[in-house]
Amino acid sequence: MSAPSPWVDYLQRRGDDADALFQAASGLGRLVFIMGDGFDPRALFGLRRLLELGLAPVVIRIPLPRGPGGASSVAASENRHEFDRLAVSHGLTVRYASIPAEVDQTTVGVVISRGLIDSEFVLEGDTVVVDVSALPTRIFFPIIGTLLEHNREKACGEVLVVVAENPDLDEIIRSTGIVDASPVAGFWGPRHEAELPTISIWAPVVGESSGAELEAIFSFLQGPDEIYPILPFPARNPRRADDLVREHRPLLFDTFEVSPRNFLYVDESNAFDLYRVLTGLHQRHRKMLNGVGEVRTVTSAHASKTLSVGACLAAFTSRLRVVTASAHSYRLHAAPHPQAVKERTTLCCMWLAGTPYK
Amino acid sequence: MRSYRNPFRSRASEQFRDTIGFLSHVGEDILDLLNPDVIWDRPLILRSAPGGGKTTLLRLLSIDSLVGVSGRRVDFRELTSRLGSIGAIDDTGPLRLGIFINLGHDYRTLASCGAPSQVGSLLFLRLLDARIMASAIRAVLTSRGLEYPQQAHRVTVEFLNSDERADEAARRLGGTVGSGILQSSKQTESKIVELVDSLLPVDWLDATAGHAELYSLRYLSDARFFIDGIEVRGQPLLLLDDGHDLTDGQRTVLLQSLLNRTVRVARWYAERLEALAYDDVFADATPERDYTELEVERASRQRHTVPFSQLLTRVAGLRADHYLQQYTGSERKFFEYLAVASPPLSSEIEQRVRESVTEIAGSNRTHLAWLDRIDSLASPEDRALEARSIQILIERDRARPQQRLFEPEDEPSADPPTDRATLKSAARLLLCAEHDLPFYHGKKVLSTLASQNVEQYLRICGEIFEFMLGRITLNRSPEVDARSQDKIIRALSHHLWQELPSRLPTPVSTMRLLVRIAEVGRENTFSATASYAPGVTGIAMTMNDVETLRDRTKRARVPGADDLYGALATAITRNLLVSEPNYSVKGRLVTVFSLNRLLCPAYSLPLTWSGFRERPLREVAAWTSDETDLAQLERV
Repeated sequence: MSAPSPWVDYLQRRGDDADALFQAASGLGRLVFIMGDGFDPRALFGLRRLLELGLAPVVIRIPLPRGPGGASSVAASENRHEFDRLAVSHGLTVRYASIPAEVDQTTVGVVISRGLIDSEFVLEGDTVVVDVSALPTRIFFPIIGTLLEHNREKACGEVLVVVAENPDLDEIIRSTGIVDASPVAGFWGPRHEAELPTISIWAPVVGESSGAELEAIFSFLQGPDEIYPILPFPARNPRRADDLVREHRPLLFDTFEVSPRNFLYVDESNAFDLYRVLTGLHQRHRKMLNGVGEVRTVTSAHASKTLSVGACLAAFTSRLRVVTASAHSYRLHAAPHPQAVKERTTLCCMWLAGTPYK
Repeated sequence: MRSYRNPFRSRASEQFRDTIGFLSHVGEDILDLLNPDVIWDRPLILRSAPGGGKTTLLRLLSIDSLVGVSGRRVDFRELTSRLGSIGAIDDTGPLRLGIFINLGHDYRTLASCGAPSQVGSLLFLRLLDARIMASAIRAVLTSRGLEYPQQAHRVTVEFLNSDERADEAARRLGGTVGSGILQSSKQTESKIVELVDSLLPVDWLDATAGHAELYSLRYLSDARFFIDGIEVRGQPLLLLDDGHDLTDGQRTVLLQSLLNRTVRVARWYAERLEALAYDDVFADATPERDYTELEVERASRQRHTVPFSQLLTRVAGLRADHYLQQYTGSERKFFEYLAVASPPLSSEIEQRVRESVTEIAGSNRTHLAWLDRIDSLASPEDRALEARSIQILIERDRARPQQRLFEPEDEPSADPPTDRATLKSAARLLLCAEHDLPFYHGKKVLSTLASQNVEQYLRICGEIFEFMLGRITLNRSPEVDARSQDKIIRALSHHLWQELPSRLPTPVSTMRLLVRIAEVGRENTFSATASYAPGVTGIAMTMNDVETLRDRTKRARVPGADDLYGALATAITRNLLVSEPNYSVKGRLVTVFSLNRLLCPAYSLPLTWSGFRERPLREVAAWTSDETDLAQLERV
């Protein structure tokens, strides 16, 4: 796995501007749309937009584990019915990714993503759009990684990622049952026995209500040598970074003993900013500690999906280790109002590989 | 403003990776759980809930710790003595080469990464073999203070009984020279990890060959290690941690290999407690003959709690005393700042309690005679407690099914027949709850609240220490009075309940079960007659009911039993419920399920272990499948 285009110049658009990217990409090959089959009210947002633009992709649906019931079950069922309605009315070709029974949380993503290639759901030269809005980290990281690797190996095809952003929904989606931390298969990073002492660096992208996840990952890493918490700034709420520090103060300062100088800031709306910050951090440490020890950088994403995509890109190109302690399942704490979902959701599209970078 | 460190909260790297930092914070009393007669010649199976101390125990026997202790005997006198008494070190250095292997994460992935199950199993054993052998070479070098991996070429191996199987093991594991073994291990690891971590499809049939058995056990059983031709005196000791992270298949294969009687290397295996699971692996093995089993929490309880509470107290002292002395300039230690006694009871409260009991006694001569005892006591607290105890006795007397029609004509007895100690405990709890008095305070309470779990204990002490730091910042002495301790503990208990939904894999059924147990406890503890003094903090089910739960077929016939089984397993493995099987009640055996002690203060329940109410399986199973949803449970 070597680095593809380093996204120095990148292509990311939001709202109506994203439409131009979809339309441009759709003309370059068979359009394949990968999406999660869950309760998230944003699950169908991207697909609807494509259909409104008159595009009819082949849809690959990724099944997700059922949540603990309540509003989330109702929402999942509504999403399925709505999807079926859209598929029939637009005559969509739909494929369902299969998940073998023996996979678990750590490997489900890589098994699905290998399956996309193996079962020829994704072909050479396809324009693949991955909607990560309703997909958890452990699934969409390997999918993006596999598509980028496939694209690099075959030297053809387009890879785009879309995220339906809605901070209000992020607020009401609660995690249930943090699973033990583990690396995401496909993103283990270098695993050979180091000749020199290993210096471990952990750069978590800090988000709200992620204390239990941060704690689990810290224990899994057995106390990294340096921790660089990544905070969102600039952000829509200019105090968000401060609020996050306040929320996680005991954990960051008392338990992890993070030096206040180690905080890093990234634009909350720009995945490529995080990509640059993370790769820069890794490269700087490697250069600085050359001959002293081998730098192993670990990242974990606890904030928005947009920023998670940036972490995924950095991990893919610089072979960073990605660790998750994601929830056993997710649930809606309250039922969202459909109109509010529609009005407050913005589609962000990132073109990751293909024609723009040639 | 000066910043202060809370040593109970700190999990900085020195505690994880720096051996001296680890040894400085560890309580050596945990080694007392080991019986040296049965831990070296047969597998030792260690079990505990998370934070129970199994990893600490294994880590204490790792070569890094043994070398660390041997090299600084003056600093670690107690550790030196305890490790010496179990035969891990002597005056000249380590007698064991503790090879620490964590079984977490990577291995499970081998079974779920898409490889056919047979291939996954072969790769699992091969990867484990590679890591055991690399760690063995590291342990040998560390025992002599040599650098790993640079000096590996100086290590050679000879076999005590060289036979075909030993030769085969040597051939598969890289030979008999340290550098060769290491190179083979690295290559194996790289190949296997590359396959598992591949983002693109893998041809598993063309994959690297695996191992059908754990060759490293055979290898280490007969191996004598040499450095530059001089024999290393330590014997290999395999320390396998976090076995619960393996898949069932991997765990079975591994345990069968460890239980093999032809294996002679000392081997310890630790996993999280799975109290209800029936374990086929041990069905044909005899405890104490084929293996030694050590359940850390149970062993601690059976040692009558006192030694374990001493261990906890020592752990707290090791962490906090140094910092407190530094921050305050005083020689006083952590526990010396914690108030043991409650604030004196006001005569106003005493008066209110007395008025209440007098009103309840009415004109009943027997009851009025009991009240005469109160004035003979000296302090308002004793008098209030006595009055509250008598109130309970009057309620019990009234609740008797057959009341006397007429009061006895002879002089009524001033001494009601009862168990004074438990009655007084119940009266104290009720008194505190009714008059907002502190109940949870003192060193002993902190140890009890730990529920035999060191991690939980550190969390409690961390909250207390944070309060102390607040006072230090304000230039005050870091005393923590009884009321503040009570407040901190109740808040922490509430916090534990609140965080359960986000931390449990099956939160709804587990929360329903825990909440109902707490409600049963509350209902019985705070009944007017305090029938189960000093209170109820658990439920019990007959052993027959528990057997029904464990049997999948029988379980399916009881509505809700599947959910209950999952909820109990989740709660026990996370130390939220403590199970005590084969508890004898009126000639019958039951299993008692008691709440973790830190869950009790939120419901104002007592911290004693003995109080429980027996409930039939069908009733308990119905609890876990009632209609309460998670949002409602969160509000509870």
